Amino acid sequence: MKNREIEAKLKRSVSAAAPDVLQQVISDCKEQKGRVVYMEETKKKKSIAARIAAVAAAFVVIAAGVTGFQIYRTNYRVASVVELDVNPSIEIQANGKEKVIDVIGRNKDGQTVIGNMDFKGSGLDVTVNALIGSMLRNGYLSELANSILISVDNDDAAKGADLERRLAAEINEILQSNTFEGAVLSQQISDNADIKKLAEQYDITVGKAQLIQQIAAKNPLYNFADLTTLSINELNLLRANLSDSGDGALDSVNAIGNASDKAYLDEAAVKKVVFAHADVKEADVRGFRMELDYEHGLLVYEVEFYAGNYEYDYDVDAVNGTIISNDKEWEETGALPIPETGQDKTQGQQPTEQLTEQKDTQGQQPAAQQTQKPTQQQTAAAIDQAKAKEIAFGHAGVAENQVSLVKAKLDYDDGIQKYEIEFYAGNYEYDYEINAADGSILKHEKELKRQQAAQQSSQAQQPVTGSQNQNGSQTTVSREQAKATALSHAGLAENQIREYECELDFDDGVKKYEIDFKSGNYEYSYDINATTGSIIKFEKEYDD
Amino acid sequence: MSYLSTVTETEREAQLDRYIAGVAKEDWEAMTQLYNATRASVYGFALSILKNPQDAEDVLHDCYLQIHAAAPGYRSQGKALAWILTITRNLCMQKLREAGRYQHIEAEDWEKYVEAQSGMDSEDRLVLLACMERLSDEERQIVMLHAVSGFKHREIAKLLKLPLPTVLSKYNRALKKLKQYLLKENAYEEQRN
Repeated sequence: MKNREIEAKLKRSVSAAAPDVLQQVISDCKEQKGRVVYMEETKKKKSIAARIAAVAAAFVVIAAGVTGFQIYRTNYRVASVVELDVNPSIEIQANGKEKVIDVIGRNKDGQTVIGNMDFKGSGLDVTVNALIGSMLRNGYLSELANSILISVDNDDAAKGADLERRLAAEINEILQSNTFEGAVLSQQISDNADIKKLAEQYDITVGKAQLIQQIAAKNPLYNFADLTTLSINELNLLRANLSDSGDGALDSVNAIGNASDKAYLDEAAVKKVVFAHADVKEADVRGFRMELDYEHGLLVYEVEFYAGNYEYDYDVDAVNGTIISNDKEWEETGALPIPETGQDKTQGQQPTEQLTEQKDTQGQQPAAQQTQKPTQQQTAAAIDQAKAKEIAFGHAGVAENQVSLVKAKLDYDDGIQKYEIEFYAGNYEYDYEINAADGSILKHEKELKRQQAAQQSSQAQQPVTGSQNQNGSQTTVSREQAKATALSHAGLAENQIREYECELDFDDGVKKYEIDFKSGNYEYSYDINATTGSIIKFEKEYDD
Repeated sequence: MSYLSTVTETEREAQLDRYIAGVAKEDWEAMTQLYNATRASVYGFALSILKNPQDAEDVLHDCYLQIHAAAPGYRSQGKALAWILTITRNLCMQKLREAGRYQHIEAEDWEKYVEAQSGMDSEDRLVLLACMERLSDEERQIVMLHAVSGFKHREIAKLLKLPLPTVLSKYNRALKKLKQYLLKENAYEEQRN
C-alpha cells in the first residue's frame, strides 16, 4: 500500500469522525457578543479601578483638546512603544510628547482589557492607569497573579529609562493601594532582531520574548517555546527562583515586589501529598527540599527527601498536587547495587573485605589506584554531562570501561546546578556531585559494597553464566509472584497494563526480576529480588 | 504537479483569509464555510494531541469561538490554516494543563470509538485505529498534519517546533508502522475467510 493511500484513508476517517459542532459554535458566538455588552452595562462597584478609569476618561477629553494644536508630525510619529504583559498583552504606541497614538490588544485577553475605551490622544500615564484599572476589574491582576511586565522601547535610551522608571513606580503605586501587594517587572527593549523574530513566531510581545529569553539563558533546562505559554506571574516566580538560587538576577530587568505564589500549593500541602504517596511519616523524613520548577509544560514542585533507606524524588503539579513523576531509590551504604549498563553482568565478582584494595570487576585491566591525583577542572563555561563523568572518573582514578554507571543526571539543588553521578567500579560505590558551571567537585564518596560482598559470598559461590541458568535453590520467587508483587505495589490490575516484560537477571551477586510495563501514560519499572521477593527498586515515569 | 498544488494551496489560503474576514464581521455564512473547510484538520490535530474524542470535541468547539473572537485582529500572512492550528494547539495545551495529565483512553475504547463511527469503510477504520493506538504522540501529530491538513514537512516542523530531520524520520517511521499494521490485519482477515 502506498503512503498516499494510507493518508487518504486517514483523512477520510478523520473527516467522518469529526463531530458537528457548527450550530453550537454560531449560537455561542452570538451569545458571547451579547454577554460582552451585558458586562459593560453592569459595572457597579466604585472600585479603585473604576475611579481610575473615570479619571482617565476625563483626561481623554482634555487631552483630545490639547492635541488639536499640535502639528501632525509630532503627533503621529511613534516615539515610544510601551508593552504591558500580565496575561493580557497590550501594546501602547505614543508620540514624542507621550500622547497615545494607538493601543493594541496583542492577545484576546488584551482586547478584553481595552474593551471599547479609546485612548487616542490621551496621556501615556493616564492610559496606563486606565488599563491597569481594567486589568484589576477583569481579574487579570489579583492576589493569585500579581505580576506585570512593563517593556519600554524608545530610540533615546535615556528617555526610555526615565519612562520605564516612572511607569514602574506609578503602576506599583496603583497596585499597592489595592488589597494585595503587586509585583512589577520593568525593562528596556533592546534592539535585537532574533528576539523580535521569536516574538513574532510565538505571537507574544517583544518584551515578553526578551524576558523569556533571559530566563531560558540562565537555566539550560528551560526552553523558550515552553515558557511562552506561561503568564508573567509564573515567569516572575521562575525569575525569582533563579536569582534566589545564585544564578543571578536578570541583567536588564528591574523588579519591585514579589510574585504571588498563592495560586500554588504550600509546603504543608505538598508534604501531605508526597508523604501519603510514599507511605512515610513526617517524623521519619530527613532532608526535605522542595523547589518550584517548570517541567512537562507545568509548574511543578521538585521534591526530594529521605526516609528509611530510600531517597524519594517527586515532581508534583504545583497547582493541583497531582504527582507527575516519582522515583524511589535505595540509598544506604553498601546498598544493593543497581547497575544501569553492566558490560558483563553475569560474571561473578570476587568478594573482598579489603578497603584499601580496589579490584576491577571484570578482571580485564588492573584498576588505577585511588591515590591518583584528582583532576580538578576549572572552566568558566558550563560543562556537559560527558565532561562531568570524565571529571568524576578521573578523580576516582577509574577508566570508563571499568565503570558501571548507575546515575548521571543534571540536577538543581541548593541553588547550584550540578551533575549527580553515581557509579560502581570494582567493589566500590562512588557518588559524585559536579558543579555544572565550573566542573568543580562538590561532593564525593567512595564506599565498599560491604553488604553486597557478604551476600555474594553466601549466595553465589559459583559464577552464573547466563540469565537462563536458573539455580532453583536461589530463585525461590516465581515470575508470577514477582509480577503480582509489582502490580500490587503499583496498584494496578492485570488488564490495566500493557507491554509487560519480565526478565530474570543476575547482577552483582543478586538474582532479580527486571519487570517493565506501561499503564496509562506511565512507564513502570521494577527490580524484584528473586530470592526474597522484595522490591529492590521501582520507578514510575511519565512517558510521552 | 508541484506547480498545480502550489496554486491550490495559495488559493486555499486566500479563501480561508476571506472566510476569517467574514467571521470578523459576524458573517455566519463565512463561519460555516470556514468550519467546513477546516474542521477535519482541527479535530484531527486535537485528537492526535489529546487522545481523547470528548476533549478533542471540546477543543473543536472552543477553537471556532476563539477564531471568532480573534478574527478582527487577524492579519493575513497567507498562513491561515497554520494560524488556526496554532490556536488549536494552544487550546489543547491549555486542556492538558487544566487536566494536569493526559485523559488517556485505553485500546478497547478506541476500538469501540472507531466502530461507532459511520461514513468510513473498514480499512479507513483500521487506519484511524492504528494511528491512535500504534503511533507515538509526535508521530501521530505529524501524520495527522500531513495527511489531513496537507501540511508540508517543513510547515509541520515549524508548527510543532521540531527540527525538520526529526519530522521527516518520524513521519517515515510512522507510515511504516501503519503499513505493517495494515498488512498484518489484512493477512489475518484473509486467513479467516
